[in-house]
Amino acid sequence: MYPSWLDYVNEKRHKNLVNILQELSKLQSQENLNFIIIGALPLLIRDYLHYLVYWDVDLLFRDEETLREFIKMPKTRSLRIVNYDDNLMVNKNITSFHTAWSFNQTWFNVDYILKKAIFEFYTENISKLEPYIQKIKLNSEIYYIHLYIAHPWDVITEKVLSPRTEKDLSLKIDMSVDIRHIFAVYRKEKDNIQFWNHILKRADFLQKRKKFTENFLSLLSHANELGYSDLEITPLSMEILKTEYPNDTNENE
Amino acid sequence: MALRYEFRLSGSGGQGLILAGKILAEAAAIYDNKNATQSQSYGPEARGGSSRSEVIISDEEIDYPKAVNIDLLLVFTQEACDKYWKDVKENGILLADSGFVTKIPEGNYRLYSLPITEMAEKEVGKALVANIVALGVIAELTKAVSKEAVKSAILSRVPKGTEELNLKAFNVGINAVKRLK
Repeated sequence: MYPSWLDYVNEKRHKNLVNILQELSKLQSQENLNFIIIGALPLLIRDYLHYLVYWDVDLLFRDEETLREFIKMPKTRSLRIVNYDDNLMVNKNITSFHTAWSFNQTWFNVDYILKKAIFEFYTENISKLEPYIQKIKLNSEIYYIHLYIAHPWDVITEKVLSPRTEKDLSLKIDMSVDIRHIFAVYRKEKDNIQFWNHILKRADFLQKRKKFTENFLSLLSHANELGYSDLEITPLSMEILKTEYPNDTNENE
Repeated sequence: MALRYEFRLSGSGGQGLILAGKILAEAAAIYDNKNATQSQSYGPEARGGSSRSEVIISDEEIDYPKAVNIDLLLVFTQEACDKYWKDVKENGILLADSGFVTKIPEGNYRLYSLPITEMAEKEVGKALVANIVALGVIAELTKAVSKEAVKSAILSRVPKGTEELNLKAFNVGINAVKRLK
């Protein structure tokens, strides 16, 4: 009734976040997914992140039409949504729309996102992806969450390949949120062969396995400079990442 | 009277201003037990183009999460200064990185022009911690959030191996303001 990940959410914001997740459960079309939650939240919920910060809710939509439909969908009357952006912010690889949601007097950032080909990446194996189902009791009120959230290992695969992570690594940004997430998952799964099989297959899906292994190796080899000198790099992970692989078709994208 | 403080941190992508905004909000809400909101938005060339983070800190519940009456505007680029200086409220603070912002319009605000990035480079040895130096400046100038709270929020955001470096950057910002007094 009380998931442990809530310990890493500011207590004043518990009710609002849980209410938002319940609302999103109602708004998510589970037959033909309209959006899926990506970013840090799936990592938090699936027990990979254990620190207290301000979390955002990132919603990845199927396409622009679905996003616009979502904006128009009727929502619970007590929910207030404030738009931070005037329009969809369209960029080369990502389109975003930033909002804040509130059921009480705290506010949660809820970001609507479109990324080319990435929705398919997260939802390709939807039949195998178990929804996050949780009943939560807060101050005698009960909330029901039934939501498809991204598989944490998929989140990491995307982050390893992300231009933002590459930039953070090249600049040695120790505060990089993405690098922190990658290392958090690596710490837990580094000797789990299923993890490696999974993420390599997912990199294959994006036709970027070579780039993926190169980036991952680069991250591990710079862990010390990034402030993660305590990160244990295991022989298994090095062996897997150093396995030769032919160039991918999308390598230079 | 209740305290409500509105910040806008603006510059270009890669300067760490979104993260600085988050740290400021976390310091206030998580460690100072105040209320805080933090928003982020990117310009059309996003994640490499302009970026803006707004933070509202209040003793009371926050009814509306957008900044409408800026108490402190931090500008890390000339473009951000040109775009936002008019939004600073009367007698508010315009804090500019003098290394990047050289033309500052006259207005009814208190101006602090400091070589923030240069201080990060020379005094900490890493220009990339300019955002943390800026947080030190902001904390010391405004007292809207306690320095201890900001330190705690920084520590919750950085890996163990760089805690010292980032706290040093924060103190560089604090000391820069103390030298002005």
